[in-house]
Parts: sequence; structure tokens; C-alpha cells
Amino acid sequence: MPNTLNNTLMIKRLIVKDWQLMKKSLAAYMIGGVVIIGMMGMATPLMFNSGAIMMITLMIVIGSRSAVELVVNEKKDQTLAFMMSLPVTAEDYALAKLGANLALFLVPWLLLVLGMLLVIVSTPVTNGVIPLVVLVSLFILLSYCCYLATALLTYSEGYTITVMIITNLLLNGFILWIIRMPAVHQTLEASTASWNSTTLALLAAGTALVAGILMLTAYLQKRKTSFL
Amino acid sequence: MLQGNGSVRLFYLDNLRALAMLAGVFFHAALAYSPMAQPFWPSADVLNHPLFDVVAWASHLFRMPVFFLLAGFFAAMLLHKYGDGAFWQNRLRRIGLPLLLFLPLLTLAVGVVMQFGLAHVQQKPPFLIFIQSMISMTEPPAMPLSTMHLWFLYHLLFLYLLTWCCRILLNRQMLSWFTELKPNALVLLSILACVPALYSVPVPFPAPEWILPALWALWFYGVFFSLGYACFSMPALLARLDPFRHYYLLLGAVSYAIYYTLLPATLMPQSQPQGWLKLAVTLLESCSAVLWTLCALLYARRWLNWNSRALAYLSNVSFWVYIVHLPLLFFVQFVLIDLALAVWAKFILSSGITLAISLLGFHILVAPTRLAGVLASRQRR
Amino acid sequence: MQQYAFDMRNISIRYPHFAMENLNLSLAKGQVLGLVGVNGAGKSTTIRILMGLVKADAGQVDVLGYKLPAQQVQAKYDIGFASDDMRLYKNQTLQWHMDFIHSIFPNFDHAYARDLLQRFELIADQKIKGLSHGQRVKACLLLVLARRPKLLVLDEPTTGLDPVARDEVITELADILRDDERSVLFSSHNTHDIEKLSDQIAFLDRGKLLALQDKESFVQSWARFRCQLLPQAQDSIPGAVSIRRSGQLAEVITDQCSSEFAVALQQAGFKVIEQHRMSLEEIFVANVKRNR
Repeated sequence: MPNTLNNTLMIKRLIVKDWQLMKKSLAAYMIGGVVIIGMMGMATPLMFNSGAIMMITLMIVIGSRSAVELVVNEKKDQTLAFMMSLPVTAEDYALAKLGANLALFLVPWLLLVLGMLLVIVSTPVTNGVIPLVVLVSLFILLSYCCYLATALLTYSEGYTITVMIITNLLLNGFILWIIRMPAVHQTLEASTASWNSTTLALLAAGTALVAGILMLTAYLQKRKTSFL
Repeated sequence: MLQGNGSVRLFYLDNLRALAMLAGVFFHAALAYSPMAQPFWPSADVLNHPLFDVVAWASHLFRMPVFFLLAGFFAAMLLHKYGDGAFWQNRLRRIGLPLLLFLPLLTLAVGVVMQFGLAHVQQKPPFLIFIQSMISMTEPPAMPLSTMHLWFLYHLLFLYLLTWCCRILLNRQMLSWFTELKPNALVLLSILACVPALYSVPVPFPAPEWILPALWALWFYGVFFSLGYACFSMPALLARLDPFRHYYLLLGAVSYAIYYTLLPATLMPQSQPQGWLKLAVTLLESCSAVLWTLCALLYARRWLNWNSRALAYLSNVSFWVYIVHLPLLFFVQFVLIDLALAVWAKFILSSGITLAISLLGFHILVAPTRLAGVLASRQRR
Repeated sequence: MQQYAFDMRNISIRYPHFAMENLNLSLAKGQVLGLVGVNGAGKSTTIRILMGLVKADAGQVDVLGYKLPAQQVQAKYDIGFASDDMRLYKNQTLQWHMDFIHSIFPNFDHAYARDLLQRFELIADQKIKGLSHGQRVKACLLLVLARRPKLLVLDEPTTGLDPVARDEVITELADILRDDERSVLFSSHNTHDIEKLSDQIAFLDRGKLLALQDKESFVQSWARFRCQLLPQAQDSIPGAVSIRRSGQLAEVITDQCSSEFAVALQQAGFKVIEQHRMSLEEIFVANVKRNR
């Protein structure tokens, strides 16, 4: 038996289990997502802008709730011992958590970002805002990776919430900073999305940071000697 | 389709669905000869007759609602019989796959037919003239992304997703409020529920063809989808509604008569009713839509619940015919525009030729291939 | 064919306020070993090392023929583990947990699970958050037992239970353990529970293994003597663990109780008034005091 069942299967089961645990929240997020995309699809400036704000809020809610519910609460509610009694190593478990959380966040994140881009491309909203939208979305993903990493490495509610607050505050600063940047600001009204060296560099840096944080988390998790 | 323990096949549901799909072909064919649709219908003919408007807009009120009501019924049945996993597998194969497969092909085909129309039609419809002026601009704007007449598949996928969400979030207690309502209270509630959605769009309600889901359409068609879901979940509901069918038919007809007289002469944005008038028109529209949709189901239950070779054939081909008919219809109607024929002849010819080519296509491209598993309904003999 | 359910050799681990040096502990197949220790004695650390959840600084751990922590995945298919600080998912039902465990362990015994549901008076469709602590412990045990593991590791399963629930759990557990031929490691600071369930008993204190014997040997070799002190009474007696004097009387505890020891007492100037058998708790306390 042990030889026929490998750990990929166990990791998959743990991910499915986490998704089952989040089923109600997922259903609520989906309804929220459909309504928001629909609002943005009405293509009036009021609906588009309030939809965009609600979408950012929804992404933050999904990210923070999944990190707290699936990682921090597992320690707090003492279900971690139950999970670790199953045929998994600490690494498998951490990998499953990373996978479950990333999928949980990335799926709605991608859908919402694509939906938003679709709205921009197919409405009078100028395509010049595309770099701004992409960079802000990437920043939200980066923030998410930061507090997911904190949750996975510390299992501490305090630290995780602190990082959430800091990254959310930084998001406002980031939006202001990037909008004032001439490279972004001057092309906002353009009819096509214009990527220049500054925005491309920001995109590359953001992507590299996301990958770096995830890899560092996996590496540090592997070095842990005590898991409970 | 089968109900309950799977031993009884409800033929009237299959038959009704097939008829609703085929009625779509005639509805689209009629729009070319409708005075109201002249400004926006791509293949609008120089000839038209108000009778086309009367019949086409009447069928418009219940044709797609019937389809969504049946979709809700079948969704409940599939979920009941096979559970979530098999449900999604089935729906993605029967709804998602055709959408993915045919939307690009149809977009391409309609593009080619439009090019044909621009090049060869002498008496161009207003819509073609508008397209021509757009193309001749120095910086022609991009065409909006459209799901065309496949919007119903696209929105249906969203309704399935919302069904999944509601099944998780709603419990028996919440639902009991609805299930304990008297039949006519449920009908009244459905009529009122449709009003906000219909009020937010022009009259008659348009097709939500844009690439993003339309909230009003999810709401409006969601009411019918839920009614269908309820019809399966509460098997006694239809029997309880049945005694009222003649009243529904009559009340729906009276509503439609008033609604029709209040409709503007042409369906341009500037001629739309406003304020209280709009509310009244919307209420009548909603009333007819709900009552006639229920009538369609109740009468079909009495008169269409039998299995014949002809009806089985119709239900087998209807999905394919509906998917491919639009570019064919445009093409035929473009050819007919410049011909000196009577308006009735044009209508019969365009519908007939479109149907004939679609059926030919079915026997060449679908029946002998794997597409049959996706597009044709199950053999019922 | 290895004969040990588990074998821990020369285990050392060091935390800021706790150290375990050269711990050797093993359990023969089919035996029930009770691990007794006060809070902080190192019971949970020992069990966590055994489960591969904590990596020891030094030493070797073999469980059911697997090296830990390297082969913990394979080993855990055959180990059933439940502890007092283990909780189930509060918003899910016991049935959900049973299905989840079944998806991982295909040989999950549904008939046995149904039997345990009845014996523990549990309802499968009840959410975990609606269960009492005692019911939660029983639910955990049900999930573990229905897997029919070769080695059962129970870390303080009766802690925090009210006396009635504890008695129920212990009685059921004793019944179940009699039914099956499986190896069990059972830790508790409650010696009564250990006494009821175990074949062998190990005392652990401050990271050290103080004693490891079968239950009967403990009870037979330990005794308390009430003696009258004779004028020639000596200060120490070979084989005495402790001597407590009070006026002309003394209480002597030994772990080498035999007719020879009674003679030795007499010769050392201690006239035996009465001899008592000691409870496991008394033996444990005496053992700890001797080693501190």
C-alpha cells in the first residue's frame, strides 16, 4: 500500500479537503465575483469605478480570509495535529497549503483581472489604463504572497494580520505613487495600452518578487525541524 | 428526459425545448420584415409588415424564458440523479463545449456574410450602411466582442455556477418560504421579480450579447431558471398551476395587447418610454412573459407529452439548427433583399432555405461524427 | 521479521528549557505500553519524535520497520495517532471526517466504524462543534480505530475529560484493545488509566526514562513497610528507595520487595509492623522523587 500511494495524491487530497472546508466562502466569493463583473460590464463610469473598488476589496477579502482560515486557524483550532497524523510529511503539508491557498486566490484573481481587462478592451474606457490595472493587480498578488508566507512560516495570527495591514496600507501608497509616475500618468488616456521601460521593469520586479517569496517560503519550510 | 426514479420519460419537455429552439429561427427570420426592427436588424428587408412585429415580439416574450425554465428543470434533475461532479461534466460537454467550439466559427461566418452583404446587396439595410460608415472611418473603432445568439449558452453557464453557490449557501429553512407559497402567489412573485431586471433595459428586452455577463439577464432568466428548478423539486407544482392555464393565457394576451400598443414605433434608444410609462410597459411585459411561459409548459404537458418519430427528429436536430442558423439566415436574406418577391414569400423562403441547409449540415457534419454526442439529444426510441 | 512495534535508541533533543538525553524506549509487537509522566516530563516530545513530527538532534527511531522521520509517510499508514490537543474540523460532520479518512486509508472499516458509533453513542451527521469534549475524544478515537492501524499511539487521550466520560473512554478502550492484536503506546499523567490498560509501564521525568517494566513486576517489586526503629537502626538499607523517620517509627519504600528484603530490614534494626502493596501512583511518585 505505501508504495502504491505516492505523496502527490496525498497533497491533492489535502488541497481538495481545504477547498471543501472553504466551500461556503467560495460560493459567496463566486456570487460576489459575478455581480462585480456584471456591474463593471454595465460600462458606465460610476458602475465601472465602483466595480473596480469592490473587486480590489473582494480580492483582499479572499486572500486574507483564506490565509487565516486555512493556515492560521489550523494551528489555532488544533486541527494541525490531526492532519499531521496522516501519511504526510511537514513538506507535503506545507506544499498542499501553498497549493490550496494559491489556487484559491489565483483562480478568482485571474478571473477578476481578465474580466476587468475585457471590460476595458470592449468599452469606451481607454486602453491606456491597462498597465495601471495590471500593476495594481500584481501588487495585490504580491501582498497576498507576503501574508501567506507569514502565515505558513509563523502560524501566528498576530504576525499575519500585521503583514496584512502593512501591505494594505502600502497598496494605497503604491496606487498613488504609480499614478503620479510620468511613465504611467501620461499614457492613461491613450487609446492603446502603452508599456514602457518603467512599467515593464515594475512588472518584471513584481513577478520576480512573487516567485522569490514563494520559493523562499518553500525553502524555509523545508528547514523546519519541529512542526507542531 | 427522465423524471424521479428515471422510469418515466417526460417527452413534452424535450418536445417543448425543440419547438422553442426552432421558433428562434422563425423569430430571427421575422425580424428582417419587422417595421420596429428596421433600424438595427442586419438583414432588414425593404419590405415589411406590422403582423411580423405582433407575432415576433409576442414569441420573444416567452421563447427564451421557456428555454431557461426547462434548463432549470433539467439542471435540478441532473443534480438529483447524478450529483455535482457528473452534472458539471455533462453541462460542460453539452453547453460549454458548443459555446467554445462555435462562437469563433460563428463570429467568422457572420463576418464573412456581412462582407458579402456589403459587397453585393444593392438596397442596403440601415445596419449595413452604419457598418459601412464605420469601416470607412480613418480609425475604425474595434467591433464589440459578442456572444451573438449563443448568449444563452454563456449565461446558462453562469446560472449553473450560481445554482452551485445557492445549493451551498441556502438551506431548507430559507427555501421553505418559497416552497410554501400558494401557486398563484408564486406566479405573482415571479412577475414582480422580473420587473426590476426588465426596467433596467429597453423594451422589448434585448439579447444580452455582450462578452460580459449581463446582470439583468442573469436576474430575469434566473427567475425562470428557478421556476424550472422548483417544478422539478416540487413535483406537485405543475398540477396545482394547471387549472389556471386558460386564465394565464388570457391574462397574458390582454397584457401583451396593451404592451404592444404602448411600444414605440421604432426601437431606437431615443424613442424608449420613460418614467411611469416605462414602469407600466415593463410590468405588462413581465406579466406576459411569466404567464405565457407557464402556459407553454402547462399546455405542452397536456398536448405534447407523446413520442413520435417527427418530434423525436425535431428534438434531435434543434440544438444544431439553432446554433448555425443565424449566418445562414443573414446570407439568404441578403440574397432575397434585391429580389422582387412578396414579403411573405421572402419570409417563407428565408426560413425554409435556412432550415433546409441546417438540416443538411446536420446529416453531413453532425450525425455521422462525434459532434452528435455533444449536439444531438439522446436517442429516445 | 522484526519484533518491535517501535524502537527508539539514544534519542537526544534539546530545547531552551528542556533536554532529553539518550532516551531508549521500545515496544514489543502486540503489547500495550503506558507512558507515565508529569506535565512537561517529555511524553509528548517522545511521541512527536516517534511520529516524525519533531526531528531529534541525535538517535535512531524505527517504527514498524520504517526509519523515522525519513520514512514517516509509509509508517503513518500503519500508525493511528490521537492526542488530547487534537481537534477535528468544527464546521464539518463526523461523517465528513470518516469519508475523508476513508479517502486516504482505503482499508477503513465501515462496519467497525458503525459499531464504534454505537458503542461511543455518537451521531455521524452531527457537526463537530456540537459535540462535548468527551464526544470529540471518542470521535477522534473512532477515526483512528476504524483504520485498524498496526500501532496505536494515544497521547493523553483522557486529559480534560470529566470522570464519567473518562471512565467510558477507558472502559471502551480496554474492551477494544482486548479484541485486537495491536501494539499500543498510551501516555498519560493519570496512573489509574495506565494501570487499567497497559501491559508494560514506563516512567518518564525531565526527559529521562526512569523505569520500564511490566505492570505485574512493578506491583510485585515495590512495597512500603511501616517499621518500629530499634536502637541499633542503621541509616541506610540496601534496596530501600526511601526511608522516612518519624519518632520511633519509619516508613521504608523498596523496589526490591522479597523475603530477603524483610530479613535485611530486620538486620538493619527496622522491625516490620506492617507491609503494604503500593499503587502505581505511589510507585511513580517514589520513582520520581528518587531520581530528582
